[in-house]
Order: sequence, then C-alpha cells, then structure tokens
Amino acid sequence: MLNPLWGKAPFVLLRYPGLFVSLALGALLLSLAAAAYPLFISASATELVRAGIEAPEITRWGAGVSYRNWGIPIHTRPGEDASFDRLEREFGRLTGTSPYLAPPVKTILGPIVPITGPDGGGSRQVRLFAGDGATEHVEIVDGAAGSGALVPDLVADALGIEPGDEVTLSPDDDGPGSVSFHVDGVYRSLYRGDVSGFWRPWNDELILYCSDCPPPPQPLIVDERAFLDVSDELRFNQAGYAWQSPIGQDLTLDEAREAARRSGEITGAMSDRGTRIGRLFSRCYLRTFCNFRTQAQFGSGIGDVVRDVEGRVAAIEGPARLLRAAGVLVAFVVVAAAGAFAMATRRVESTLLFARGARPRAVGTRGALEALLPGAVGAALGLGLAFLLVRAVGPGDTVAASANRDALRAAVLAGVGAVVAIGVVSAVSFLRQSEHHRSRWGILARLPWELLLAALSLLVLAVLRDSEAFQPNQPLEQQTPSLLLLVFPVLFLAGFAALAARALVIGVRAARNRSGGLSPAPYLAVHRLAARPRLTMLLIAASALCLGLFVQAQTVASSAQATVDAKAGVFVGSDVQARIDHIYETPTEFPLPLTRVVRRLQAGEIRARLPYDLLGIDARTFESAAFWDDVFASKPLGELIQPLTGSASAGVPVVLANWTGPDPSSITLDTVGVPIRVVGRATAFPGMSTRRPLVVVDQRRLEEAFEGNANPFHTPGASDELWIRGDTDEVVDALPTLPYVPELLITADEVKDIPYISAVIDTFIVMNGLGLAAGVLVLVAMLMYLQARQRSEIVSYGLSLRMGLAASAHLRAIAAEVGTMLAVAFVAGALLAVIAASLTVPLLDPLGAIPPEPITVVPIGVLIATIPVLLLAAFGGGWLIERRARRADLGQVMRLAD
Amino acid sequence: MPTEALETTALAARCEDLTRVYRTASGEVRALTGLDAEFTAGHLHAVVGPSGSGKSSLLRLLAGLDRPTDGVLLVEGTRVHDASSRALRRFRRTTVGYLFQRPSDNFMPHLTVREHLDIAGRLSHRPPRIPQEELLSTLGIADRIDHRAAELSGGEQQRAAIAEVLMGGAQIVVADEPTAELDSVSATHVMDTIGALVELGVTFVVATHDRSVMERSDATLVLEHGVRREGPSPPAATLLPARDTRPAGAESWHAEDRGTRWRPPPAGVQLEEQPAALAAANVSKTYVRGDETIHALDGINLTLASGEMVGLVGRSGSGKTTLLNVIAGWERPDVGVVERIDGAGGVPGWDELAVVPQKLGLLEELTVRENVEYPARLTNRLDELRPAIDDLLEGLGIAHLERRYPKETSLGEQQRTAVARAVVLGPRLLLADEPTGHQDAVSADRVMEVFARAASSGTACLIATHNEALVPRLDRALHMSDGHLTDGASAA
Repeated sequence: MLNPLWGKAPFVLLRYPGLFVSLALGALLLSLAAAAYPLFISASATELVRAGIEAPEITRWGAGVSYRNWGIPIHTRPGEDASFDRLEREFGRLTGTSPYLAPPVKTILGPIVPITGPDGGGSRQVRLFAGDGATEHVEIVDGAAGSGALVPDLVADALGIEPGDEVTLSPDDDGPGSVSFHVDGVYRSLYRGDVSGFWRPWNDELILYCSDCPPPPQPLIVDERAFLDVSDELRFNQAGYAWQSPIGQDLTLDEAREAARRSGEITGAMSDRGTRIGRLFSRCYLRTFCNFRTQAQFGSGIGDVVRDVEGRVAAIEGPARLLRAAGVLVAFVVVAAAGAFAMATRRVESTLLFARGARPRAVGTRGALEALLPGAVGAALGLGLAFLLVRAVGPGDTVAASANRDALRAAVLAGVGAVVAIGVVSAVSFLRQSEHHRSRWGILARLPWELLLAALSLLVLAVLRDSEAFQPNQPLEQQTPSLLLLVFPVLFLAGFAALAARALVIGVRAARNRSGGLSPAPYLAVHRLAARPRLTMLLIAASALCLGLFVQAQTVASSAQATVDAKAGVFVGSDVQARIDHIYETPTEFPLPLTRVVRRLQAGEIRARLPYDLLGIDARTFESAAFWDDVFASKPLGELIQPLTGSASAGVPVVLANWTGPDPSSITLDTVGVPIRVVGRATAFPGMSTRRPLVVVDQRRLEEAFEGNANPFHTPGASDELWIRGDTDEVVDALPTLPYVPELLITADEVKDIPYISAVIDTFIVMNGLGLAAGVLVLVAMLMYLQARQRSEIVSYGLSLRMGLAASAHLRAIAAEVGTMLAVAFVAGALLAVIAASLTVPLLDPLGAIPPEPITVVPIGVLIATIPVLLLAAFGGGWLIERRARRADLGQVMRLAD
Repeated sequence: MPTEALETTALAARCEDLTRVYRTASGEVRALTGLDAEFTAGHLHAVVGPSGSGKSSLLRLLAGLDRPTDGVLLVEGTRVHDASSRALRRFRRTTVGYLFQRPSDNFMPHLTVREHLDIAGRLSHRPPRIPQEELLSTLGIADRIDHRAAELSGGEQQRAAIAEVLMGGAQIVVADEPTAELDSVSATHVMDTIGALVELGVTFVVATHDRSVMERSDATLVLEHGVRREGPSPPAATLLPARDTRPAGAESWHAEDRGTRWRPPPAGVQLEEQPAALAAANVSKTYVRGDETIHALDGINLTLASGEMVGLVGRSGSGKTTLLNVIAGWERPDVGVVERIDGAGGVPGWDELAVVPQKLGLLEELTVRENVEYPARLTNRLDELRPAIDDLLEGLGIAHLERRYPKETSLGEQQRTAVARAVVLGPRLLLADEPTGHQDAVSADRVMEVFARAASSGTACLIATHNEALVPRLDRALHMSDGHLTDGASAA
C-alpha cells in the first residue's frame, strides 16, 4: 500500500488555493523565462532575416537564385532545341529542388536602339525589354499596361510621347528597317535605382552610377512575343537572358540556412564546368570575346543575409542568454519564496513531521509531490504566455519549429525545476526548524554579507575598465557586449542596497526606543519595522535591487541610445547627408528642411601643428536642418550660430567645437592666415567626423574674407553636402525632386545600425522590463507577506480596534510601514542606479572616433513617475490589507481557537 | 534524583548539569541551568513549575527537538547532547514520541487517524510495542480510526496522538500539558489512558499544571527559573482559596504581602450597588462546520451585575467561547438579545468591555510592557496609568519580562500579559476565555487576584473555564453543556 504521505500529496494543495496559486505562479514565471528565450531569439532572427531579405540591396529577388547570360541566340533553326529553352528548363528544374524558391521568372534585354516619337522630330535610345510580370515592377505614371509598349518617362518627356501614340524603333540608317509600337503607358525610369529587386540582373545596364553621367538607355517594355517578332524584324540575333527564382516565403533563420545551402548547391551545379549542366549555364554564347559584363553570372544573396543575421543574432544571444539566466534566477527566487511561504503557512505540519523524526529528504519529496500539479499548470501557462508575449510584443511572430521544440522542452524542464526547487526548499525549510540549525544560520544572517557583494562589484568594474566593454567575436567578425556589463550593476546594487537597508534597520531600531511620543500610526510602523530586522532588511534590499535595476537599465539604454543618436547625428550632420558636386546650386525648394554645408578635413592649423576641420554653413538654414543636442553647448543652436553672420571686419566670426584652449585670434587656412573672432563654443557640433577641433563659419562670410584669393571651399578636399532633416524614407522619396542626382547618400540610421550597440540597448531595455517585473513581484510579495501577517494577527487587530485604534490609523500604519521600506528602497535604488550607470556608460563608446563623449541621460521623468506609483502601492496595499482585516470574521477565528 | 521513590531503578532518561540558553533579540534567556534528573522507565513522570520555569524546554530536549547548551542528556541509551542531526532524527523516529499541547497540532489535516498510524509505522521501520488493535482498544478510539482530526473531539485527538507515537515504536512519550486544553472529563479519560499504557511499560514524561495529573504521576520534578526545586510539589489550582469579597482597598486574601498593588481605575460603580452590567435573553446561535450544524447556543439567559465574578464552566465545545463572542459583539445571535449596560451604543471601547481571548492577540512587535500599555496609549492615558501598569506587571509576575517580546516568553506568561492588558483601563465588563489554562497554581492565583480586584472596583467578570478548581474563587458558576446554561443560570 502506498504511503499516504505520498499518495495524497499531489492533491493536498487543492485544499490551499492561495498556496496552489503561489506555486503555480512561480512555475509560470520559471517556464516563461525559460521558454521565452528560444522563441524570442528565433522571432528576432526571423525578423532579421525578413529585414535582410527586404533590404534594398538584397530584396526577395536577390536573395533567391538568379542567372543571366548575354548573347544567347534568339532564333533557332527548325527542329533545333533553343538554348534559352534548355536554360529555362534546367533552371526551373534546379530551382524546383528548393522549397524556398518561387517559380522562375524570365527577362530578356535587347540591344540599344534609337526610338523616335510620333512627330519624328528627334530620337533617344532605349533597350527592348520583355519579362514575366515586368509591368508590375515599374511605376506607371501615365496610361496603363496593355498589349502595347511601356515607354520610360525619360524618353517620353524628351520626345513628347503620350499613351496612344505610335513610337518607332529604327536600328540605324542602313539597317533592315523600323518597327512601330503602340504606346500603352509611360513609366518612371529606372536609372535612379530599382526598389523591387526585379531588375537586379540588369542593374549594370540600367542604373546610373555617376552623378554627372547621362542616364543609360532605359527599357522599352513589350511582351515576349512582340520582343521576338521585333528582334526578327530588326535582325537582332542575340539578347541578354536572365532567370530569377525569388525567395517565395518568410523564412526563419533555420529555413534561411537551409535555403542558402540549397541555393549554394544550385549555383554550384550551374557553375560546375565539369558537368553538362554546368557547361550549359557557364558557357559564353557571344561569338566575340566575353568580358566580366557579358559572361555568365550566377547569384544568390541569401548566404549574405544568413551571415549578417548570424552576426546580429550572436550579438544579442549572449546578453539574452544572461537575461534568461537572470529571469530564471528571479523565477527560482519566486518559486523558492512560494515554497518557503507554503512551509511557513503549514508550519504545524512540518513541526509535526520534525517531531516524528521525518527525514528532510522525505519532507522534500513530499513537497515536490505536492508541487506536481501546480508546477505542471504553471509551466503550461508559462509556455502559453511565452508564445502569446512573443507574438504580441516580440520582434516578430514567426518562430522556427526547432524553437518551438526548444520552448516546449524548456517549459517541461521549468516545470520539473520548479517541482525540484520546491522539494529542495521544503527540505531546507524543514532543516532550519531545528534549533541547532537555526542558531547556525542565525550567525550567518548577522554577517554583513553585502560587503562581499559590494567588493565584488568594484572588482568587476575594475576588470571592465581594464578590458573592453565589447568583446570581439572572431568567427562572426562581430563585437559582442561583455557579460560583465550586466553582472556589475546587479552586484553593485545588491551589495550597496543591502548596506543601505542595514543602515535603515539600525536607524529604525534606534528610533524604536524613542517612539514613545509618537501617534499610533507611526508608533506601530516603527515597531513593526524594528521587530523583524532581517525581514525588513531583505524586503528593502530586494525592492532597492529591483528598482535600481529598473532605473539603471533605463539610464544605460537611454544613454546608449542618446550617445549613438548624437554620434550619428554629428557624423552625418542631420538625418540624411547627400554629397553633391560643388557646381550644383542649392535647391530653392524642397519638401523637407534642408541646408548646404561644405566640409574640409584638416583645412589648416588652429595652432602650430594642431590641425582642425572646417565646416562652412549657411547660417540662415542650418538650424532648421542640422542635428542638435542641447548637451553640445550652453546655448541653443540658433543662438550659437546667429553671430556667425556678423561682420568679419574684426575677424571672421567662428564657433569652435571640441576646443578647450584659449580663444585663438587667427587660424591658417590653405597656408593663409585668417583672423577670427570666436563667438561660441561647443563640445560637439554637427559635421564632426573626427576628434580634431572643428571651426564653424558662415560660408559667405569666409568667402568674403577670402575675396581675391582662391575660394577655400572650392578645393579638391572640400565636400559639398546637403543635410536633410526628416524620416529617411521620406527623404529618399523626396530626393528625385532634386534637379540632379547626389553622388552619395549617408543616413543617420545607417550609422546607428551597429549590431552590438543595438544589442546593448535591447538588452538593457529588456533588463529594464525585468527589473520592473521583479519590482512588481517584490511589491506583491511584500503585500502578500503583510496580508499573511495581518491574517495571523487578526485577533490582535480586532482587539486593537476595541482598544481605540482607528481603522484609518491602522491604514496609515501599514502605509507608513510599506511606504518607508519603498521610500528607502527607491532613494537607495535610484541613487545607486545612477552611480552604477554613470560608471558604466563611459565604457559604452561605440564609435570612439566620433564625438561627442558618451552621454549619460538620467531618466528624471521615470523617477518622478515612480514616486506616485510607490505612494499608490503603499496606500493601495494598506487599504486592501486594512479592508480585508476589517472584513475578517473575528468570531469564527475565536471559535476555532476553542 | 526524582523527588519520590520508585519501585524500579531502570532508567529511561537521565540528565546531568543540563543547561539551555536561548539567544533572543532582547538578550539571553536561561531556560534551564545545571539540571540533574532521572526518569525511570515504565512510569509516569510529572514536570511541574510556574510558567517560564523551563518545563517546555526540558521536554523539547527529552524529545530530541532541541539540543542542550551544556550538560549531558541520555534518553533510552541515546546521547542526545552530542548526537548528530541524523542520529537525533532516528531517535525521534524510533525512540521518543512528542505530544503537542494543542491536540490538533498532532495531525495533518488531510489524513485520517489510520493513515497517521500507517505513516508512523513506516517512519520508524519498527514493530509497535503494543499491537495496533490492542492499543486502539486500550485508547478507546477503535471506531474513530477512519476519521480526520477535525472530526474528533479534543480528548479523542489527544488519545489518537498517543496511538500515533506508540505505533512508531516510541519507548518514552513526552507530552507538554496534554490536558491543558481539555475539559475535565476528556482530561480524565486521557489520564486513564496514560495510566493504562504505563501499566503496559510505556514511560511518560508530562509537563503539567493540572493537580490531577500530578496526583497520578509516579514521580514529580519541580522546576523554578530553570532550576530544580527540592521539596514538596507546589500548590495546584485546586488549592486556591475562595474569593476575597472584601471591598476594594482592603488587604489581599493572599497570605503574602506584595506591597503596593495594582488597583483598577474606578469604573464608576460601587460593588454594593451591583447594577446589571450585562443581560442576555433567549440567545441562540447555530453555525455550520463542514457537513455538521452546530447548535452552539440554545436559549441562553444570563444577567451579570457590576462587580460580579461569574464563571462559565463546561467542556470544550460546550459553547462557552461562542457565548463570549456573542457578548463581545463579534458574532450576532440568531435569536435573542444581548444588552451591555455600558452606557453607550455602538462598538464598546476597552474601558467598557475588555477581553482575554484564548488566542491572546498580543502584538508580536511590542514588548510585554508595550502590550500592556497599548490600550492606555491608544486612549491617551498612558502617563496617568503608568504607575498602575508597573504594579500590574509586578502583581502578575511578569515585570522582569517587560522588555521581552511575547514570543520570547512562555505561553503562561503571554496569557498573563493579556490579562494585564485587559484590566488596565478598568473595564465595566471583562470577558476571559480560559485565562488560567496555561498557568501554574501560583500564577493562576495571581490572575484570579487581578480579576478579583477588578471586580471589587466594579468590573463585571465573566470567566470561561473548564477548570472546576476555579469555582470556589467565583461569585457564581454557570455550567454550560451543549449550548445550554444549567445550575440556575437562567435565574441569575
């Protein structure tokens, strides 16, 4: 017969709903922390894969498999198997072996031919083009796709072509003749860049690569039948053929890896000249010589996407793993607390077992068996919640099957872990009931163990300072944040918060002896705090740790973000920087704020052998378009640069950035001495790309001062830039309205896109949430403890009311008790967090060569917002406890004592 | 050496120079100091002494629940003083059985008696000294074996607990006031059972204030302040003299003059006038416990005059506590009316109605003195009453404990603290539920004296007890049984 101690154990907690819920909650948290990790990582990776594939430089088409070849014969003799048919067949067969690739699409690009409009007054050049679904990959600006031709606007505008017109292709004067097309529509020319990726195989032929070159001939889009007929008519014998199989679906990282592997096999087969298939694809079909543009080209960008994503995932995996460990640790603490709470609640039973000589092992087993049901329920709920959370607020909602399996396994392990933890806690709690053990633990509890933590934290800080906050990850050629960045604040906050809590406890015990004159509420609060010093200290330290982690993580994340924003803004100058030739005029109209600057690196010397960079600005438009952070200078940007337009008679007015010496009265520029007048200073300034001092001038004032000399801004080392403020996509969309094409675009978003910094920011944001969640848990635990204490003191409370204690005074007493603990925890936690953050933030300098120095942003708003929350918790919790105490059936309690 | 000679010399336990010191937040507490004693096998040993004398500490040491700070303790061949934790566990499992003071504490609420016996056997891995059937028959609980503890009376629970420890093979049973929470009938039954088991060779060591237990013991060990006191047993509760009915201000009936004594603040009513302080008419109360409907009070009629000390005497479960709850206003009667003549409506203040509940309700975060001062502090009368509080602490024998927290004192001392707290404002009506349940004779005497002084100042005292020995100290004793008052109570 089964021992009744075991046999009934799994269902015992159904008699104690509160304990059941506590244990289930602990298991839920454990399961959530463990299961969310693989789901989060997988969802992040999926999102990164998606973003990588959709990046303009890759696209679904580029991530798939593509093949192009020039000079493939268009016409075949009767009975002959056409080359393009064989290529199309084999390409389809090869790509069909990969489930991740969509069916192939064929495009054909013909040679350059002149085109004339309906009035025959002039001609332009186009390329005849046919492709499956090509009309869906252009922006039709006039007319609509049909059976006729689509004409590029570049040609249509020049020749006055409109939908419904007839256009004529005439190869040359002595050619075989000409062919006319009915124009169905006009599309936006492709030379500025292809957004969809469909045109990738023909980028070399269609895209403009230099700002002062004429646009290359654009496609005249017709259907394939027309293309072949026209080729026949105009005696085009060969054309460029391309086949593309785009990625057909959203991919998880695992699937992307597999897709990359299969794509590699396909391109490998196509390029292997040792096989018939390889020779078919690799062959140069041109009768003349092949060069790099006309030879066979194979490609698949999915491998690049996978490599990039693996690097980014590696950067977030380390911190995320540590966060999982932290989450699991917190959850284990909750489980352990729930287990200890369960043991304390059923102290009579454990005392009985102790008296009967039960072994701790047996009591632990009993505890574990009792935790089976709540552990299983909690683990299942935690798994479900992890799925829901990742789906609802995670980076994406598609996770790999392997991640699902990992999450399930983690949830099962979490359930088992919770059950085992309860067993261990039960056994340990049971052991502690022995007076012998209690005295031994009592000695340990009196030791100032927090000093050890504090010392350890300082040691970790020293190690961090001696080494680097970011560690190189050689295989992935990435940097990953050091785990010590997370370990340090935890140790620092835990150690010093506990010290602060110990100090408060000492103070409260001293106050207790002088509390005789206090009114009932503070009198009770002081006595309650003083009566349980260890518990008071534990609650304060735990609250301060959680609040501190919350504030510290918030500070570090905000600071890292502000630093990266500032550095990117300073480097780029604004949100987008467009480099243009100095011959172009500044546009007078643009839909977004825009300014023009000229930048010269090492333009001269500010002092002997001390070079400086020069920034010539347009002071009228600079403020509206340039990036600015108020930490850069003591006055706003507008006020700072306004004097630059002043008279240059007493020297050219300049603003000096990153210069700590006395105001210079002159500088050299191109070996010419220039008297200057310093009208402002800044620690950093938009346009700084080095740590050298930056001299900011109004471009016109300097040019005026240089009258008679060579314009200092028209030298080979000068860089003319348009700085544009606005959302990057909006800016890119607006750029075509410029009357010229910029040579180079740099966006602040690109500069900020540093995987390991993003990882740090994301990590601390998650840590911020973790601190908040842990804080809520501690608060709940604190209120549950007070509730449990109140329940055990229901008789004394009932008697106290008769003795003259007002319910409001009781409420104030609880609020004062909770409020004191939370207030001390808040002050200590916030203060320590800011100190910890100010020690950590300087180590997080992602772009060391670019000013400014790391910026520390203290989340004042969050701190202020926390105060009413804590007050609400203190009074709200007090009110709840007081209300439940008032509603307790004192008669029943008394009767049960009988 | 035991104070009385024994027929056999086989020793079950022996202690030499046994010392136990506790370290508490308020300092060191010496529970036992240099105690020498022997406990002969197959006998009933009574350990007696005032509250806080070290009885419970000695029992915990004998049961292997604690270790001595110093000295030697041998129990059934086990060197308890230097045994390892593992050896102590085995000792508790196989050699000694400990019975908790509160009968229900000996059980896990979800298991039946049979299951407890099963577990006890499995824990010890030893055959019981007495076969189960014989044991259950001897204990008289054979028909209750498939019930849970909550379904048993206090006496049945205590006997089932004895069965449980003996099924574990215990050779010596240590019991801390096993009859303290039982009425006299249940207590007698339990003691009969213990006697029968002693006859069968089981050794019992029992801490008690109960004279009937002392009288039935084979040997008595008297402790005082943790030290063995040689000489005759202390007076038990039955030895208390009858109530002194002299008016307030007269000398105490107690032989010993303790000097300045606590006097309750005047309640405004002279004893001679004896106006009614409480009137209950036709009070009935029914409540449901599990599947059972309990008729706790059935047509109770009761009148209490100011300055009168009335006892509610009855077995556990007879309705005493429910009646006190109804009078205190913590429970509403289903039928009937309770009128307190306290001159004010609404919830009565502590100076109108004070209570000493069984669950004492002391504030754990306040010291003994602060607990007693608490009502005075809340009513802003602390300065005025401070001298009286000093006297009260002295009179109840807890002045030396005034800086200790309640958990650092014995149950009896806590109970006396609650008594002091109840009378500190000189209430018009005082309700006390088993106020001497954990007191030795001297302490019970002190408690009753405090009540008597309160009564002499006009406080009407209603004292629920199962201790018939208190009856001579009361003006009236109302017997309660199954929710009815008898012995002319209705006419009172």
